[in-house]
Amino acid sequence: MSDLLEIKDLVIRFDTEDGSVHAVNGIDLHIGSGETLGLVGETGAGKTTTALGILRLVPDSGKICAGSISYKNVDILKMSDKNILDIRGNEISMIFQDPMTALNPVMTISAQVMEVIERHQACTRGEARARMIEILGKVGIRPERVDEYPHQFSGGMKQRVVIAIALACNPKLLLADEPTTALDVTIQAQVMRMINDLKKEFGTSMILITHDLGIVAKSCDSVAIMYAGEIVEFGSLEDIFDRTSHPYTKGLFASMPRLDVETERLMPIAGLMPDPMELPLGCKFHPRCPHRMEICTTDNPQGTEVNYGHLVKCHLHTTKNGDMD
Amino acid sequence: MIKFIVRRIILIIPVLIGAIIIVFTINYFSSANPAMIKLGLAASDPAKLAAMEHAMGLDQSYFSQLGSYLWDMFHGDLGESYVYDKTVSELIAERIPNTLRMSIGAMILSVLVGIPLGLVAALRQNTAVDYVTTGFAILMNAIPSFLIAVVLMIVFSVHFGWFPVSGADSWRSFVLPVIAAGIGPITQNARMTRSSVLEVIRQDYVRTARAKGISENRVTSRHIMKNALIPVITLIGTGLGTCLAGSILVEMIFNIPGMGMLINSSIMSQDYITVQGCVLVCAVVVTLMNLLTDLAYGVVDPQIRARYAVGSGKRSKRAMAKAEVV
Amino acid sequence: MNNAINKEIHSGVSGKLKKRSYFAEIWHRLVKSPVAVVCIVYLAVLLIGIIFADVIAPYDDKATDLSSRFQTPNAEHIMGTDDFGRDLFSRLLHGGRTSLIVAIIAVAIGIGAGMIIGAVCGYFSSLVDNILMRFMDVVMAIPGMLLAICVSVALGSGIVNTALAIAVGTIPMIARQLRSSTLLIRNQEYIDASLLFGASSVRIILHHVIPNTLAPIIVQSSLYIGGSIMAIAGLSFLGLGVQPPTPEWGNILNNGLDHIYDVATRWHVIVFPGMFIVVTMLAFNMLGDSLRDAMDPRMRK
Repeated sequence: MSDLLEIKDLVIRFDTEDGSVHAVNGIDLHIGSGETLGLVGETGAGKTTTALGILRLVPDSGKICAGSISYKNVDILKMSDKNILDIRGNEISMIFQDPMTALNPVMTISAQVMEVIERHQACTRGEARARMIEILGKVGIRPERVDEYPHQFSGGMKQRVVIAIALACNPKLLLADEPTTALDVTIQAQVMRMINDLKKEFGTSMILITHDLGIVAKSCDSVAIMYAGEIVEFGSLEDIFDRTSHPYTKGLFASMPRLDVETERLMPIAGLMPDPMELPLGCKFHPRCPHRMEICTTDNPQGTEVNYGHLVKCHLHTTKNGDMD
Repeated sequence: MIKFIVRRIILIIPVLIGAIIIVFTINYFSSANPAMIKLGLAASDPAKLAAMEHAMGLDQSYFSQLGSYLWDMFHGDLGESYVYDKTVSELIAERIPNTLRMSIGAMILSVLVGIPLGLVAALRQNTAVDYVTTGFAILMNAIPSFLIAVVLMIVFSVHFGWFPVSGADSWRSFVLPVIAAGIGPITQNARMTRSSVLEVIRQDYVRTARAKGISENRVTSRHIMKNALIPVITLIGTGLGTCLAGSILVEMIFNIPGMGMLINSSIMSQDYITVQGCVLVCAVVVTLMNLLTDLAYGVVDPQIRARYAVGSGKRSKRAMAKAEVV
Repeated sequence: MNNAINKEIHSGVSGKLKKRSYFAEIWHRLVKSPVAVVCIVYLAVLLIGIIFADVIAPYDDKATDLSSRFQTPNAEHIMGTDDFGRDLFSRLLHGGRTSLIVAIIAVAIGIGAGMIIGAVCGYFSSLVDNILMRFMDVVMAIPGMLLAICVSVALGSGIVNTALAIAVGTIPMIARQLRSSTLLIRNQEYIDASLLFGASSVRIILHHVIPNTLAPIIVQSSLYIGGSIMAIAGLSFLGLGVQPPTPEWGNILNNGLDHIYDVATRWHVIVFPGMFIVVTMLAFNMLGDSLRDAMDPRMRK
């Protein structure tokens, strides 16, 4: 079966007055129908930029320099402007990170949801309105509140509206950019469960961007770990959680509090992620890596398949030097 | 909402009374003696002067003079001209249509030209279009309106003969004056729109709109403009004041019989009560325009409308904050 | 004892050290912009020109010579002569002095009065605030130019009176701005700390509120000076303001405009005064914009 979406060697750069920001540096990703892919990494690793790249919504200062994004075997990056408009919000849609600012303050909720329905579906105004009420009902907003304005809703409710806009046209692929980060802890679980239920109902694929490995464990089929604009490890949920291979991924797990394993203390990863304007030579992670070798400072490692479908970008594995610890 | 409008209209009254008191007081303490001006040469006779002072109520105290002026104003009576044999209200009624025509025309021009100009500059930020527009706005902002009027007249009326040099006989007479009085507000609207659009354009909800797959034109008209225009509305309101003041100077260049020429001739002939009346009428117009601005906020911004509906008597914090920023 | 501590806290630690580096940083950012540098250089040259006008001006600015009326620019009179045969360049130099003095006095009055009213309103937010701010609202209801005309008519001509006429309209704008920043500062914790040391209200206003709100006001003043020069010219055009024969850019221009129909041969009596007014306004406005950008890194693009 061919993949729904396949990203090959994607490079995105931002040109600013002070220099170039290397946000995404040659990543490969693929996701099948109905699957959920977790895209995990620290703030600034290039996760959101990747998602925006899929919709061709990278801000003006940014440029997609190389690579391809094939959706249903058609390269999104080569599509005409009109075709990409037909895909946005219809086939591929996005849930944004901050619900407080993601909605237009001077338009009613109903108008904002109906806008996307009317754009993509051949239907009358009445049908669009019925569909709007249905989808808002699914995310838990009662019909009598649909004609209110964003400022009359709480953050959690706004996020439900954002989700409704994303799901209104039954997209094939959903890009969820940290959908729960801005919400209260009590609401987070609710919203995540709702996204998962709706996803199952519609058979939608999802790329879930997060830095929370707990959420990944609950919702994802496969996981990509992103660091400094590169995907350093990619594999099934089991590959990543049970057969963790990259030192950075190991660091992420070590720095996460766990209930099932008894640990004396958490082990944070020393140092900070490099400035995307001045990336180090060789492996981007080498300044923080506990297993640093000579070659890491000069050569960027290629991806190596350690198991079937489990890719790792690390010299420990390219040199066939299997034993790590 | 209706309750709010009524309350807002009632709140205008103390502002206007305050304006009357200020203008009256400024004139009261001026050195000129109205009776002397009214009598002209006959003022050399002290008996006549005293009689006239008594007839005009000048021998009464400040407060009783102010009181009777306010009382007359309440009945729409702005007093009698010292020079002409007419009431100030009559003089103004003759002249105000031309001035309103000009300043409202200038205001409409400033909206129709200034806002699209600012929008285009913002959407094409850092291109030649942007630089030319911004440069034009900065330059025009530094040229007094009467000087622009002079240049326009020399070029288009005297040199090319496309428009009449003076008078107010047809719509053609108003073309150049309206442009001259409108250029200041045009540049202000353009600059404000540009910065406001640039602010809105990088908001998350614009990205949300784009992610819906709607066309860029629709993103601009429904999402960017609606939000970006909120701060511009304040400027349109205050713009009428600028247009009024501008047209008063411009009228004199083009010899249009409006309030500007009335003010000027009244200054020359020391007919200060007419000047006073003209200033007050302008203050009324500006105050009414501010009211409309406030109501327009309610139409555009649902958050402010909500506050109006609740009926908090004060002007909204947001509107006030915006006014202060401007 | 108490006073000594106070003094140290007020002037030593929090005051001067921080301020100096702050202004130095703004200056550093300002001179990076070529536009700002051009404005500063122009204004510096202009300032030197009008301060030393008596030395630099080739002729007496009031000396009439009816035999050489309306000379176009030539070797003797680089900007030509006016309707009384007076040297235009000399008149413009002296006129610039009048214009700038009036503008600076006007802005000083406006800022001084506006700051006091604003600080008092912000500091004592109560009855005083309400009365004064409503009064400011009323003044703002009258268009600035008309208010200036009114005051100018009442007070008569002259430098101080003209300055006062122009200043009245700017007072409420500055007062409102200062009031809102005072309200912000008043709720800071270090004000409570000062009160604990027994500092008086006047002291707090003078030592904390005003210094901390000064920076944005300085920026505004550059824009207000530009606006004042425009307003002075407008008053002169109406025959108000500084009266001839005292030269002032506005009345020189107004005088030139009398010859508008002879513009082909007498262009210089309009072009040169107009040029001085426009270029100087441009310089003050653009300097104000650059200053604002330099002080607000967020605005830099």
